[in-house]
Amino acid sequence: MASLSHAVVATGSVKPADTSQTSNWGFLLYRLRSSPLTVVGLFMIVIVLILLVFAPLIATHDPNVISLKVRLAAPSAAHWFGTDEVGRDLFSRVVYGGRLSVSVGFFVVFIAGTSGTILGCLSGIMGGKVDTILMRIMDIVLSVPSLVVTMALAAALGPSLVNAMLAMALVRIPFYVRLARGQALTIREMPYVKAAQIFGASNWQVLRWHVARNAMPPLIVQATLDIGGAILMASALSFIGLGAQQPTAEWGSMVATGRNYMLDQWWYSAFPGLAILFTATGFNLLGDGVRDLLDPRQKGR
Amino acid sequence: MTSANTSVLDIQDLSIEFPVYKGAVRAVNGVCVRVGRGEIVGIVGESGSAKSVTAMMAMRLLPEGRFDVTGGSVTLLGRDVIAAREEEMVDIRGRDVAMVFQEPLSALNPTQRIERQMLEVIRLHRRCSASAARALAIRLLGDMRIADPEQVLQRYPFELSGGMRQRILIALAFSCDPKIIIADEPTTALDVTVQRQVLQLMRAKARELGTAILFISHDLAVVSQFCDRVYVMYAGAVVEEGPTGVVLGTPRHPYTRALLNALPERVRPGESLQSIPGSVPNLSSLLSGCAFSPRCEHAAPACSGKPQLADVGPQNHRAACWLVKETLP
Amino acid sequence: MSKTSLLSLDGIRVRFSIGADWLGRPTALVNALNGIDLSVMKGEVLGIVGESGCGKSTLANVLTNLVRPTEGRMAWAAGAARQLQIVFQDPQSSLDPRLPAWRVITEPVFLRERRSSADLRCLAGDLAEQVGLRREQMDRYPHEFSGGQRQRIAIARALSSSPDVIVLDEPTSALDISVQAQILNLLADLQRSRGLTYILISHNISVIRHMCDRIAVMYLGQIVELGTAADVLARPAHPYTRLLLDSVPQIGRALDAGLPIGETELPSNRRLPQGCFFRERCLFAAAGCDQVQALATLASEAHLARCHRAGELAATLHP
Repeated sequence: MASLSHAVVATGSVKPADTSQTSNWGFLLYRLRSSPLTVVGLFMIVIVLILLVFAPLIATHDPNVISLKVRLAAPSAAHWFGTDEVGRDLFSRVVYGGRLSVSVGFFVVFIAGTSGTILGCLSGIMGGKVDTILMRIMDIVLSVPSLVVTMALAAALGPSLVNAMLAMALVRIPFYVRLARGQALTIREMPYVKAAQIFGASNWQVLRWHVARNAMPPLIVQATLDIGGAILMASALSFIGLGAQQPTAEWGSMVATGRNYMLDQWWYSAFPGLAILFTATGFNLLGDGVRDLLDPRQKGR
Repeated sequence: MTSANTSVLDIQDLSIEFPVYKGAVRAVNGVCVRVGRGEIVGIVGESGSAKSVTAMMAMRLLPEGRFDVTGGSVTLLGRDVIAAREEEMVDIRGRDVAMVFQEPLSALNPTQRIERQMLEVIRLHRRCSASAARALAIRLLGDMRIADPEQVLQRYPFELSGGMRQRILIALAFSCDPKIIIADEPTTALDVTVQRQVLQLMRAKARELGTAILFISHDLAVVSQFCDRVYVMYAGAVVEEGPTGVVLGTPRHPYTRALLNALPERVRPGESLQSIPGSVPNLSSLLSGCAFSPRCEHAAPACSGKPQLADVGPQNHRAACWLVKETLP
Repeated sequence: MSKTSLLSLDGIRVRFSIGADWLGRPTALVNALNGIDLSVMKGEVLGIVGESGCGKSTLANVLTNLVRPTEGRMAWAAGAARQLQIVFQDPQSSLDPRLPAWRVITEPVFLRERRSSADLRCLAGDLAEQVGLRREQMDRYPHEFSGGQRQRIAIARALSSSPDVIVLDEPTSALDISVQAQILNLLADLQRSRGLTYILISHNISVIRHMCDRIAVMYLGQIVELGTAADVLARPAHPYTRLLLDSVPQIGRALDAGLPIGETELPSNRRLPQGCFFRERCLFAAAGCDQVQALATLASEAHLARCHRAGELAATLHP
């Protein structure tokens, strides 16, 4: 309630004014304690990242080595996740494939996020015709189902992971533009922006120094949540053959190929599928937590 | 002296803490506030004085689980507020105790017409027919000197001015004939001309119905005009109390004096204002003893002990300072 | 008059369109400013007093060039550096929470010139000391300062580009009484030591009385009274000024003292009233009030009031 938060804040600074590194981290941990799911999400992501970064050390075999003798072997001590139809160790393929899947997720969100933010903020600050035109373009992009657009673009550019990535990024841009524009519209009414304009700041300077940073929190939340979605989308595209091509190890393409063997060799689709599930869930939990942490009502405690 | 039986609100020795990262904020420290039947009592203080928190506690409007009452009692119309169940509190709120906040726009639903909102409140506590409620609403709005109440009822909150909205909320506060109204800075967001009108109307209505008012403000002048008695709070404790004219006319506590001296009216135009050195203490690290002593020009070793309210004048004028035993110049 | 005019506003009118039909034509207009004629003298503190709806915020926007007047012009005196800075009311939202204090203070300089960070930090440190802050605090962020300290940062920021005029928009309304005293003292010191010109916009009469040399009282987009502080406060010539002064709470003055209150609602600024804007609320309305009122001079040349009865009402209006 407005009056109460005013009362609580007014009863003195609740956070100690000490800005040393340790106390900032301590404060963060204090906030995290009240949100166990965020910690779970964080944990999950850390596990995934460790697996990916240390893939060469963790993988038991070379992911591309073919060994027809042990094709379609069930999970065992030798092959933890079993093998695929040409005898490649699935565990190692999942670990290495993760590198591709997760980095695609990151890149898509990064590209869409940065360009969307800049476009949206500029649109919000400038207003007028520029704003109207840009928003109508975004509306057009949004009106077409994203999977269809992605497929069309990927197919037109040629099936490869890079093209799939670009297509996905393009399709995600409007969400960030909208979000950023909404933020920019609010922020540009703030006295500190008006002050900057009075001091002679150009639109670009206002964007660069004031709007972009202050617009970040909901954008960061959106991005974190999106990473999970982007990984899923990349996998979906690979599943239909538009993303990673054989013999590249990538979660989605592995699930796709595993489809053919699902009845007898359940492990083929299951483990990459589980990897997708695990990673996406981790990012979603983290994203929710980040949103709560960055909630301005919680800020100022 | 307001004896316990005739007091509407009796806060005794109240202490409240808010647990936070690294300890707790001792927001309220041993505060005693009493409001008798039909009295208009003011609590005045700057930010960090915890005046709002004290008032909120009277209706137990602090968020559950985020505060600890570490001592004292709050008795509202004979009922123990601290121990009461939430259902009992919900019953009392609006009917026996009403509240008026600073920002009228947040208290009104922007998507409903005034008529619907007023009728909802009136019928909730009075159980009368819609037409009777409507008639009452029109009469109340008329009492608040709102021209053409019928038309105003058909409006949405955003169509009305701030002064109009606050008058509507005050009308609503009086609608169920409460024994006490708690007003937290109700006129701070209003223009001076509207403020004067609103205060006149509130006082007239309160006198007519015998309603007590607990009036929270940071504005000494408004409190001097509106309240019969006043409590001056600093850093979560009452430092001076008594009849308004007496406290503001002959202040005995160094803080009250310093506050009055800091007003621009006290010096000639162009002269330097007498500011209070230092700033409000951080409530999470309050020292024992007088919270004002670091900033007080009369600070002495005696200030390290907890200050007690002592009689300093007639009509229960009290101040919490060792100095008042001597005569301040 | 030994003071020279630094800045003058002539016939300023500002109209905003609200709502547009499908062709983009405005469906309604808000008349925010309805004819402002004002000169700001070098070295003075000019107070603008008024309540909500009087147009003082719009006037501030016109002065700072955020809004272009629909009619009329604003002209600087020859030779003036044309530098105008502003200090806002809310110390919380007037500083970018994500920039450190030194960057906030030197923003006016940063945006115009190319200066190294070290240079800017040094400048910030100098200014900080002049407004009562410590040099070492310049790396902190706004939320780490108290309200009063933030307002000092805002003042330092206004000073950083060495302006001629500083517009102070309710500079102490969001501050506690004790902090207000410190800030007002600081502002007075700076004005004296630097020969600054202030335009102080406020609804707080005691602050205006304390700081200002001249006062302009605004009502519904017009100046209804203009004169020295002494004249306007002790010998108000316009009924609205008298109403305002009566309504200001004072310790020791009863709530009912002063002239009776009439209607407190403002007339709409979409369709302006005929003749005198204050007529409906005025206790002294009479024949002739339905004509457009000009800002006429009274006994003393420096004291103007927009009321044709100002002369005859003089005695009644003096509190």
